[in-house]
Amino acid sequence: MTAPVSGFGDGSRAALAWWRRASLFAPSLLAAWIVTEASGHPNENASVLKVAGPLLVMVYTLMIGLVSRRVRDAEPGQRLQQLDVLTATGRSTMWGSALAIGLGQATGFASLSVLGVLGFTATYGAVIWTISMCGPRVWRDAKIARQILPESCTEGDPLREDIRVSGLVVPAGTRWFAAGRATPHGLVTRYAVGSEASRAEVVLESDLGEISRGEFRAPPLTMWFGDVLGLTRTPLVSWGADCAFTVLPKPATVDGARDLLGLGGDAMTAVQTIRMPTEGTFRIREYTPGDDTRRIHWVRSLQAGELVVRLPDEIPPAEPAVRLVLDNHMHGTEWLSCRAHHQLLDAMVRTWLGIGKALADGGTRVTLVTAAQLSHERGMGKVERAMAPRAPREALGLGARVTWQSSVTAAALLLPPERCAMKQIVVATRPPRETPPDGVSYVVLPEGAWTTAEPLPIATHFATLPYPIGSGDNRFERRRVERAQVDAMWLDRIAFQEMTSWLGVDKRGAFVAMRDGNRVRLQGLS
Amino acid sequence: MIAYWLLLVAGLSIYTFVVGGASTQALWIGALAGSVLGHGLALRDVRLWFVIVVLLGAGYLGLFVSPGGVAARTFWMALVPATLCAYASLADRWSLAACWFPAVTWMLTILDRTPAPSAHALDGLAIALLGVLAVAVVVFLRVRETRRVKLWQTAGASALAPVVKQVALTEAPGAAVFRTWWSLAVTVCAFGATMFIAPRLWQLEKFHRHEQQQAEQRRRAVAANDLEQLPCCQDCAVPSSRVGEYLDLGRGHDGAPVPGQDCRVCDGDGGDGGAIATAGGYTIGYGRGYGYDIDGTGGVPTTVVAHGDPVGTWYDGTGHVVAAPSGAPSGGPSGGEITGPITADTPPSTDAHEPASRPTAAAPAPAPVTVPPPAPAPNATASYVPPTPAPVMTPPVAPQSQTAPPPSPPEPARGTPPHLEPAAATAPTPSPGAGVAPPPSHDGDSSHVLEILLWLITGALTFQVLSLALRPLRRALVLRHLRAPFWSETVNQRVSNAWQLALIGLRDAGYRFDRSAGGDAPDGHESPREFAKRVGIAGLDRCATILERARYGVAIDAGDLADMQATADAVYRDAHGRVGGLARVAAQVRWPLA
Repeated sequence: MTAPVSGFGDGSRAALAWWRRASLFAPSLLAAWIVTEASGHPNENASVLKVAGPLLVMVYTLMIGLVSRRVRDAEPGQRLQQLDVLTATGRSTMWGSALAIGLGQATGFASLSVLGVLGFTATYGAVIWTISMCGPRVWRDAKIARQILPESCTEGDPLREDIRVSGLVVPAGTRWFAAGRATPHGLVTRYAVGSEASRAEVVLESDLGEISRGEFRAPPLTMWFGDVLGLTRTPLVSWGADCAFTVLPKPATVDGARDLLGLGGDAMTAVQTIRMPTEGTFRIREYTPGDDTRRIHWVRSLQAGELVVRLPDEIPPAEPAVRLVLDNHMHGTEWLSCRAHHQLLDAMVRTWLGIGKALADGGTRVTLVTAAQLSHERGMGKVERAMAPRAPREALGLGARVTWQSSVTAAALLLPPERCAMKQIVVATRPPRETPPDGVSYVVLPEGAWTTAEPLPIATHFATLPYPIGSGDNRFERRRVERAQVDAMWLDRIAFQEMTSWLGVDKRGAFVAMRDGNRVRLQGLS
Repeated sequence: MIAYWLLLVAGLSIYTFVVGGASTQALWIGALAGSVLGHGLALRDVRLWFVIVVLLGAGYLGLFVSPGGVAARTFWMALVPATLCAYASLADRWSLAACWFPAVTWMLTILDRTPAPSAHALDGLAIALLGVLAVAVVVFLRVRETRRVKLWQTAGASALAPVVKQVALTEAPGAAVFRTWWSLAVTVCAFGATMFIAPRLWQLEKFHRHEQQQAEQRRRAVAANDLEQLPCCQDCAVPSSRVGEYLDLGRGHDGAPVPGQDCRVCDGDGGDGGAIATAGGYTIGYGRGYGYDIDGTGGVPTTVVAHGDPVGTWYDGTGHVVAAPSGAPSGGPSGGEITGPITADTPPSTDAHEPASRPTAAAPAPAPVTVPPPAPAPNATASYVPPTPAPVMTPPVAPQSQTAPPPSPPEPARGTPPHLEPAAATAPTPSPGAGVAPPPSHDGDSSHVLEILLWLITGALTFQVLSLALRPLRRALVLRHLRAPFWSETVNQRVSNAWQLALIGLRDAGYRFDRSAGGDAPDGHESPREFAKRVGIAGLDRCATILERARYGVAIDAGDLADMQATADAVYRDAHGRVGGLARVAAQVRWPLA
């Protein structure tokens, strides 16, 4: 399992950070030095320094004063971030301005001098404006409410993010930016609002599309201000509380679930008998209080002189109840950066609920068992829910809560055979390594069949850029980080495959769940 | 992309109208072709190295297919940077570099009117153009950042959720005023910094350094009252200046040596003068060649020679400028003799870099020197009186030189004198393009175009100011019509008018009707009742009810209409009265009203 990816080591990151901060002053000092030294005539550029020198000192003084104020107001851990005012475009503009002035002195091209002066003016103006105007006061009256709607839905339903901003001050010449991701592998939302929204009530909506099942707490949005020239920005701020929403799983349609109940008892006779019109049903008995009156066989009752009821021949009376256990025990999944373990668990939950629904629809009393978060204090524990065919919401809610966990094993979820007369079916990702106890059967979902490949790095052509020209994601360092992230995902994927390996398992009596279009088909392994 | 094209085409157009010249066409073609190529490649998302390879390939092919000469040189000098800058205008983080080539086209016009690297040397048009350029670059940076933000929201390594709705339900009244102030402040800052700092960084071109050194030497000599240290007038280069720029077009400015200030009168040999004149017959590169025929045996060709043919004007020795004799040999002067002392005529501007449209009249005239009356001596050498600069000189016309290919003489005129200082001898060889004679003077045309341009700008500004000033009147008329229509209207329309009146007042107070999709109204907008509920101003719900009745065809009687109008007017006054004075002023000039 790999560590979070940054693309750079700690030393390189620190050096880059200091380079970013130095870009605030170094280019202009370099340009001043070039102007002083470039000419053979000392007096030639004296007038430049007479005008620009004091101006530069004033700008430096103002900037240092403003930045120190921000540093003083910031939290101890975030003080150095206050110096990271320049964006990548701002840094390139600063160094480009210094280069332009240097080249202007070397070649004598007046346009380069004009551009250099304009670059420094625009950048320093933007720095001073952004630092001075985008302080704590812009957040003072701000109310930012975020919702993921609908708050509870089923897999496949579209979700949208709704943000209402009011009272936020967006100074003239700046933009307010916000970005976030509701789920770990979901879509990223990005907003940019201009100064026309200052102290206004603004509604922002994004289409999040379909999200896999789960109980989510979307982390707060990350926000910052930037100037309209794209040269400066403020430090990042995480605003607001987590935003909770639930996506209920959608049970799969399972074929062959009845085979899980075995071949014994009345299950074999549950098949409807084809009778001639004159033939009657042979499974009748006397009426007892509590029987469904619709089952009273009136002809036989008249003949017998007492109430007689037909017995339903669809329900196997020998096996009326089943414990359906979902084995979600696995170590180390919280560190995995790949998507496979999420996909596999989603498939297991859908199959688990699908089997339960299929059995319950057939008349079996199904009890769903798994390990889930009991509460924040109590941690993980065994949870049981009855699967009611016509009111499955509680069961679906439990399915939404299921995550991989390393506290409760499958053995802890099963009841000992001596204490449990009912059949127990375990839905897992692999058969057990030891022979399962009597009355316990396994339904397994192989990792390779139920997960998709991790994303590949965007294919790049040697002559073309991977993203539209002008996109910041074309930058070398971002491409490097992206590639490192994809590599890490694949490494984690390999690790996950090892974790779900079938090496040494006992496959006897197990069923494998196979994808059959949109349905799931169960098939015996042995 | 549009902002880049506007910046470029505006720079080229201004240069064409104000300066013009033979190479303008090549400049246009090169700039436009390069920009199309650069943007075309950028929109195909190609990498920078591929653009460079394309340019190298084009240059390689161009060596064989393109004709030589100044136009081709200008074309290639425009094409390459235009391509790279157009590409950079869409690329990431290269916004400043992208502005360079459009800025060059603007600077050609600005520097054409600038005789020295100083802000004081800028004339009115140059100052205005420099200011406009500064603001245009800032606008370009802003537009480019807007595009980047759009890209950030729509494309990237992460899968992005589309933003389906972004509406402002309310707004701060009067916020537009602050945004306008900010824009003005940015304009002033950009303008000021560019005006006061950038010109001080400009430099004269290198081959003028020698003249600068001479000038410094002269200054010290004059200060020390040691006139012997001054160079001889016949050796003294005419003070001329040209602020350096990438494209070798225009911008030259001439002065003339002032005896006793720039040079001293020396005895000399007429043969030297002839020799100088001979060289002067081939004015190339530096654009001038002065041959003072001291002994009066030769004419003094003073202007540009194309194809080795002396054309243009000659000093006839009487202090007057005459047309060059036809068929004058290219090897040297054969023209008229000096019949009298040369008195006061300044040699016409012959700087090949300087187009005839801004001749010596635009250059700062040297201080006029009172020339003593010449002694009537037969030997002109003894009675030589150096030329005194004339305040105004009608530039000569050299029609042949407009289409003539550049000459290829071996040496510039200034290299001919044997006692030339080493610095001058090592001066860089001027480009062939610099040798092209300027087109015929069109001073009148230029000033005329300039005048038209100024009138157009003034007219546009006046129109804007007038339209802004008339907005309160327009608003008052609209409000009057909404309250009591000027002509007969249906009841439904009058109900709608009353609703609009309420909306205008609410907009003054910062409430905006949500016209985005997703509302309850049949058209998908926010329904009037929803709006009334959200705003919460008394009476608006009544207005919304009557409006919806009118929309759904429920009968409206006279009482409803009167009620609607009275309530809407009350809502307008209530909402409008909630805002401060500044916001009310801003509301007067806001458009659209609702």
